[in-house]
Amino acid sequence: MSVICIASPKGGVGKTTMSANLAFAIQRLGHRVVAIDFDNQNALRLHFGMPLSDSSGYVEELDSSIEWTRLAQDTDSGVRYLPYGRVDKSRMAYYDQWLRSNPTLLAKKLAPFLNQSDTVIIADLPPGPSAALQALSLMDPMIINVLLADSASLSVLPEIESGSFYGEDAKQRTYFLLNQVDMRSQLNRDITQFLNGRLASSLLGIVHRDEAVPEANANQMSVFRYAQSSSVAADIDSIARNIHRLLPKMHVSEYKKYS
Amino acid sequence: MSKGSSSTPSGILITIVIVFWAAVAAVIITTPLSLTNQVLFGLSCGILLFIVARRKNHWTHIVMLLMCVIVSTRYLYWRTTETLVFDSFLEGFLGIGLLLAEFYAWLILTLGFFQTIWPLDRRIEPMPDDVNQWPTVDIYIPTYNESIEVVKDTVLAAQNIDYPPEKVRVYILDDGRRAEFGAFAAAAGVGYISRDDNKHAKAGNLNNAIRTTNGELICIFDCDHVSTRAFLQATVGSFIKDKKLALMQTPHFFYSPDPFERNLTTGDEIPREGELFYGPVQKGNDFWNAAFFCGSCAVIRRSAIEEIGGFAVETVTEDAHTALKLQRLGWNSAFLALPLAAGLATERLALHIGQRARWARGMTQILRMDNPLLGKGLTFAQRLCYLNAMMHFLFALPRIVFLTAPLCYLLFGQNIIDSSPEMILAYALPHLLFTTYTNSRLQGRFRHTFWGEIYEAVLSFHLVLPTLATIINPRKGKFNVTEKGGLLENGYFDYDMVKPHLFTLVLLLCGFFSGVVQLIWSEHYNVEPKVLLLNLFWAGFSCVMLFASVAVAREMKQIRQTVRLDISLPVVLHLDSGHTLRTKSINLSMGGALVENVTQRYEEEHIKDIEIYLNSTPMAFPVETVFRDDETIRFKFEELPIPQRRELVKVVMGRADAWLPGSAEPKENNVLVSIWRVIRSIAGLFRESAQKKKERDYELQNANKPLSGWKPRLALLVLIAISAVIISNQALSAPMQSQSAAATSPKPAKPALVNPALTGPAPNVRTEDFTFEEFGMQQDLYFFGNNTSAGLTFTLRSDEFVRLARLKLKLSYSDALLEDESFLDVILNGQLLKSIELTPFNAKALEVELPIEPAMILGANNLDFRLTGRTLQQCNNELSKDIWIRIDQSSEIVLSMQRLAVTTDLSRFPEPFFNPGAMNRVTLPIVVPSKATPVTLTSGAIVASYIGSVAEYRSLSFPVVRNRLPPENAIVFVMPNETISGLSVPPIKGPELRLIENPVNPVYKLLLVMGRTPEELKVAATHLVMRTASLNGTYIKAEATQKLSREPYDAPRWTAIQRPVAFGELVDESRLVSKGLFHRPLELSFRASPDLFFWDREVIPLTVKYNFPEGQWLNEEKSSLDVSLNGRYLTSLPVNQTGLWASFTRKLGRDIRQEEAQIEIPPYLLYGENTLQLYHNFVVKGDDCELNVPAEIAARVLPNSSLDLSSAKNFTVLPNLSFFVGVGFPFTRYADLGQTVVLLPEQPGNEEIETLFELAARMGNDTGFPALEMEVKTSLAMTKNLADHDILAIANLKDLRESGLLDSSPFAIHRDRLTLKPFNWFDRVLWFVQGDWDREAKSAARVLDSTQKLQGLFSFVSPVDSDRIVVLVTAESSAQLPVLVDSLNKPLVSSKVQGDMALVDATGQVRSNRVGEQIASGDMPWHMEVRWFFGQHVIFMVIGLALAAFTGAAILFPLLKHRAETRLKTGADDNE
Repeated sequence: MSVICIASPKGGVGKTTMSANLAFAIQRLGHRVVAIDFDNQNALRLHFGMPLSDSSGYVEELDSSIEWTRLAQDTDSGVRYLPYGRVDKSRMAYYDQWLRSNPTLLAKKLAPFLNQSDTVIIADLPPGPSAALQALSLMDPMIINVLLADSASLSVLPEIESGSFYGEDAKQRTYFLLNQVDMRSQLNRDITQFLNGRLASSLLGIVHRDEAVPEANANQMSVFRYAQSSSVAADIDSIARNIHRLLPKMHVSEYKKYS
Repeated sequence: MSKGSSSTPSGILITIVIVFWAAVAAVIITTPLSLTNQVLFGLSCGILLFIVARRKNHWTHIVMLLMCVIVSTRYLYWRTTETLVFDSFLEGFLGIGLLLAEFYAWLILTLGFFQTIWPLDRRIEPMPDDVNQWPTVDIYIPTYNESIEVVKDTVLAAQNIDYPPEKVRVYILDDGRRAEFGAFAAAAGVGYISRDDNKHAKAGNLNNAIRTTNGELICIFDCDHVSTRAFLQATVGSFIKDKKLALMQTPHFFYSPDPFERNLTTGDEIPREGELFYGPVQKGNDFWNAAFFCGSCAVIRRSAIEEIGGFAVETVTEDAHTALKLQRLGWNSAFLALPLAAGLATERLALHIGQRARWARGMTQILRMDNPLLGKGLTFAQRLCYLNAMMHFLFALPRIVFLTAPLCYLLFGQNIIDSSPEMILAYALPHLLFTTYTNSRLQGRFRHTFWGEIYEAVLSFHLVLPTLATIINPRKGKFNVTEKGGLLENGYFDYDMVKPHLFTLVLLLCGFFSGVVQLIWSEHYNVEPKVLLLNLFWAGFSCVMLFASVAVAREMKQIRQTVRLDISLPVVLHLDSGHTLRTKSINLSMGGALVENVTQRYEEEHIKDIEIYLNSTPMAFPVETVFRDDETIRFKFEELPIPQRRELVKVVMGRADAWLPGSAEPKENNVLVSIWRVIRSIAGLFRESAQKKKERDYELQNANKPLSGWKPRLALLVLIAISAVIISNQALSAPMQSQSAAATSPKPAKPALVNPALTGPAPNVRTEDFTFEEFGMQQDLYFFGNNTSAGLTFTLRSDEFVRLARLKLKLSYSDALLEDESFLDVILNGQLLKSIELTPFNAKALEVELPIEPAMILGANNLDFRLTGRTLQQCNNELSKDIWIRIDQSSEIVLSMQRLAVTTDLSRFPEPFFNPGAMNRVTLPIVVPSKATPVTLTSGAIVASYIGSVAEYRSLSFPVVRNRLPPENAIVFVMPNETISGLSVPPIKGPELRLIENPVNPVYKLLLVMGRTPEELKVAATHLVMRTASLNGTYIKAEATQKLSREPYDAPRWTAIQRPVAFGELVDESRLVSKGLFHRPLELSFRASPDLFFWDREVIPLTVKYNFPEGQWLNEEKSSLDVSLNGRYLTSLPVNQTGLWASFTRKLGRDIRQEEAQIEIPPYLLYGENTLQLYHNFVVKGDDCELNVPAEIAARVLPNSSLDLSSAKNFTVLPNLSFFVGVGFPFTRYADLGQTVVLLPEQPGNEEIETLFELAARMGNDTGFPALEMEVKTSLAMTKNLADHDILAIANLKDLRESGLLDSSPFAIHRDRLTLKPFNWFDRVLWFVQGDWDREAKSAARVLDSTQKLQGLFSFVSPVDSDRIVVLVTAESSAQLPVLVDSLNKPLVSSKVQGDMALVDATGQVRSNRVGEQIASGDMPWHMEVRWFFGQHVIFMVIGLALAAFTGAAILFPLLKHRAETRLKTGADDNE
């Protein structure tokens, strides 16, 4: 289970930001990390410093024989990422169709990544149910729900917990993180406390609301570089460590370990 | 705890061991030791202690503790039995007071050891999983007048306690009835209980609440005790497990510094005051099921408290009293040594003292009103634990006594411990070492050395009145509330609180300086420097303690209102801009936080909130930035709403581990470091700003700990060694001095002159030179002053008259004497012989020879000298030291004397054979039959001993003659068929005495002692000596006298020891008067049995009653009565009483003449024969020419003065030749020598017989009684019938060799030489183990090997009776024997004879050694004999101590361990 889906029934909870920053954080722990953008907004790349004008992505190359590993972009930090690419609506629909028609195709495409033993794929999924999610589900991924400490998040919780959203068999692999928490707000505190009790160990951690996050994004940096001493950096790091503990014991390359 | 088990085999074993243990302990405690042995004992015990202490486990702690109790008890026993002799009421009062204080300290020490013998380490009892079983709890927070700020956090913390909310209720019990408290209670959601009155203070408040609430358990927090969240879960479990548990107490932990910590420079380096109590003491109490309630931080079972009718209201310490009442009903108590709540310490010294005064009063109240020793329901151990808790608070008066005790001597001259300083040190140092070291080991981590003393010193002056008043009237006194949570903006010195300390300190300093002054001029002040030094040291120690106490009164300012705790927790800072910073805290308080500054990035940004993570649950608090730099940011919390404040309390003080000891190093005790800290604390008192330097000092101390390295330890070791050497030197020198004094003081007598009587120019005429020395003048006659005189007396035999006499004077005198005006008048019997003109020319040496008219010389004569001298023409000081003269003791009187024929009449007996006028040696030939049977010899010995008994100081010799008549007075023993040339013996009809003229020279007489058988001879001899008064005529038919039964030690010459002996019994009253300025000392001679046994530190009381003449001329300050014994100076008794008080009353005109004094004579100064000298040393006032010294000066020692030997026992170690030489002991134990056998060779020669007679005469002289029952045997064989007899053997080496006499002695004869039997290393080891350390076998062997012409005395245990001894008088040839015995008459010789082997060579050189086995002889009760044995064998004392401690620990350890396990397992106390 080296595929991590960053998902949410709802949009606008900071999935992409979390995907990018978790990718950095997990990579720092010694894993090879590939971040793959499954969201047609194609926003993930921005976190890795890809120019706005660059429209390349793997969706365009669905039918070509180019291996996705070659499409993946390297970054200074060592995290590789696979951008969605700027494509028109039909292409998006085609991609959906492609995923739906033969869900195993994705696994095949991703196989070369996973052949490298210590690779972790972080999948930034679009909000709500999606074809990508379904396709990925076949690979028994770890599913991380990003929630906000608000009532809307609370309302989707029963749906997730009942298994109706990710499927019955995904229950064991479903985890949560609470984003943009402000402990000074009574509501936030109460919800946090409630979720703490409700989710228990499946709550991987909370992330403070911090202006450093959008600022880091704007600067196309990870928060680790942009605001190392911020609480967000510490929070994400702590979540990454929790994930690390949950990942199957992989051979972590010596080189990465000490870099 | 061994109760009920004594019937089982192990119980019997334990009982036996306990009895054995008690016996050994009793012996060690009560055995008196000499100074040397006590020093040895102390040192050995110290070494033992340090060896034991090397292992640090519980077992060795018990060993140490047992040893400590024994050593301390020994000290106290010694103090009680030996040091309580007082000269005045005041001294007695103070001395007894000090002893009582010491007794108190001992009691507390022992009780404390009992109490803390096994500090029980209780663990948290886990709560059952089923929450339904958890009991309901009411949390009470009583308050009276404390500020709400203090109470708030306590309440909120109580709410934070983790416990099912439906099972716990928090109540504020407000005795102050304050509205704001009610409002706060409502807002916080806790109960609020108040009442209309304040009856019974806190106890009443609690009792009121009990009626209102209904929780099964009641948990009480003082209003400043903030609890951690774990409090109930840690404590309640035990109540579920043990249904009889009524109380669970936890420590009172203080997060704020107490006055000691704050005000003393070193306050933060020492354990806090409470650590001892809430550590070993309460844990130990718990072990005995006697942990008591301390008012707060405790959980109590409601049913229990209701059973005793609520909290105790009778006393002001309701807590301890409540616990006592609970336990009386059989409820259990427990103590959990985890700090689960924390409060504020008393900030101000004054408050601290007030609080302790209340405790002291309350505890004393309980002691008086509900004494734990009395009443029902408690186990013995519980009684002792409670007793100790209460007795502890009586420390005030004893502490003051200890502090001020040295003043008694330094300021008032009162000696309140009657012992020598060496002895005090020898006893007290081991006691102090043991208590200090054991306490340091047992509880050093909780209280450092000396700090207990300082804590007590601070309080004692304020506690003494409350405790005393409470003892008298326990119902007085009210509850005062300790104020806490205050703030001190400016430091100040709390003068009021330490007024009494300062006063005492000033007194002590006065005493100290006066002591120093007295020490420097100790001769002028007539003080013992050593006593003074001891007191100075003590006073110095007291000063240090008081200075340290005073230093506590220097109140430091206290700035911070809340206490910062160094807690490192994750923290998130929320910036105005919406950014966050993740960092961690450095410290936290209820007022604010200090966090690390991690970035400079948002320097300008305002920080709005801070979010603190506790157990990963964050809490946010609004803050205000107070201070910010590159490393840190300090925040102040803004006013918080109750929920947030509750959270803050949880973070800062609520964590379960909040008050557990951190990783900080434990404050290990080190005595030296501890002393150094005390000194630094005092130094802090004199510093301008101690607080400022505090940190710097701390660093400095860390960098260079002055007393923890090896150097200071080495220095200390050297110091100890030096003191040990000094003390032991003192100890050893005491008997040595006495020996040397004994050896040198009696001047060697001039060798006896050869008696020229038989070879004189005219028949029956002899001329003899008598030196003044022979007349008894022991030194030159020296005197000074105009018109002063001195003199001597001499006597003559009454059967001689003087034909010619001359006086040869050897003089020296002052060369300042004026010619023509200075004369020495020589006066004989009142008639002026000559005035010798003293010219300066001859001042150095003048010999004058004066003829004396023979007619002027009488039987008894006074020769006086009067000095008339002038040094100045005009005004002459009559007593000028320039007018002096010295008459040499070698001056002589030469007398030519003619022997007169006297009437032949037995009524004059013992004259003419012995004439009391004889000035020196008396020779009395004795004619014995050629075949001398043992009984014949016995008869001779009886007569000789009689002559000896009347001879007093004169030496006797009895040349033995056979078969012929000597040409002088002689005693002849005649048997039938005996031919003595020149004597025709009338037929003998039975025992007869006959006096006839000597046919050889009719001037002389012969006394014929006759009998047909030896037995009849003995009857005649006995008649002669026993019926001397009835003799008359020339012929007596002797009759057998009835044998008198005699008691041991009843020799007429021996001073009675059953009762004090008055001087009047020893000497005629007229000889107790000193006449004239220059007079001879008054002398009292007395004999005592030499085996008098005194415990070494015992003294012989000598009561001297005396007076001095009244008169202006007498310098009362300088005149004195000098007392010496056997030439050893004892003391000078003053004319007037001394001391400040006396001189003060003298100013008021009171008569302060001293007329009685008691002198304590150390027993080692006492010999068999003793001379007590008393000398009135008159000092004349002024140096004018008109001195007005009256012509007749007389001063007396009163005959009812007395010497008290009644504490003596007859007990000693034999053989001891000095006893034999001194008074013939042990033969003279019976004055008639009833159990003495004298062994002579089969064919005794004249010399052997002469030796026998001379020894008999010696012993007759010693006892004053003839040797009627002495038995003589002419066989050197040791036979069984010699049992029960002491044996005196007289033989030369040749005869000895053939006998078996030496067979079982350490001596042997080898090739005609007397040698020592060989001994090997095994013997030596055996001797060592037996404690027989003073054998001198090696040197004795060398002495024997190197001696030519051996002659001497040997003594050893009788081979036929191990309770008896043999004394052997031997020499290579028989001719040496009488010479040997004769030489014993010389004091220089006799004083050197010691041990069991003494060789006396021809020149009088003596070499004494101790080589053989020794036996104890005498009649002491068995228990004294046991103690005596241990006293002689210190090594056995030490072994006994070790044995007692180890067996004690071996028995106690498993019992205690079992008890501890039972206690922890069941919680109950089933062992009782």
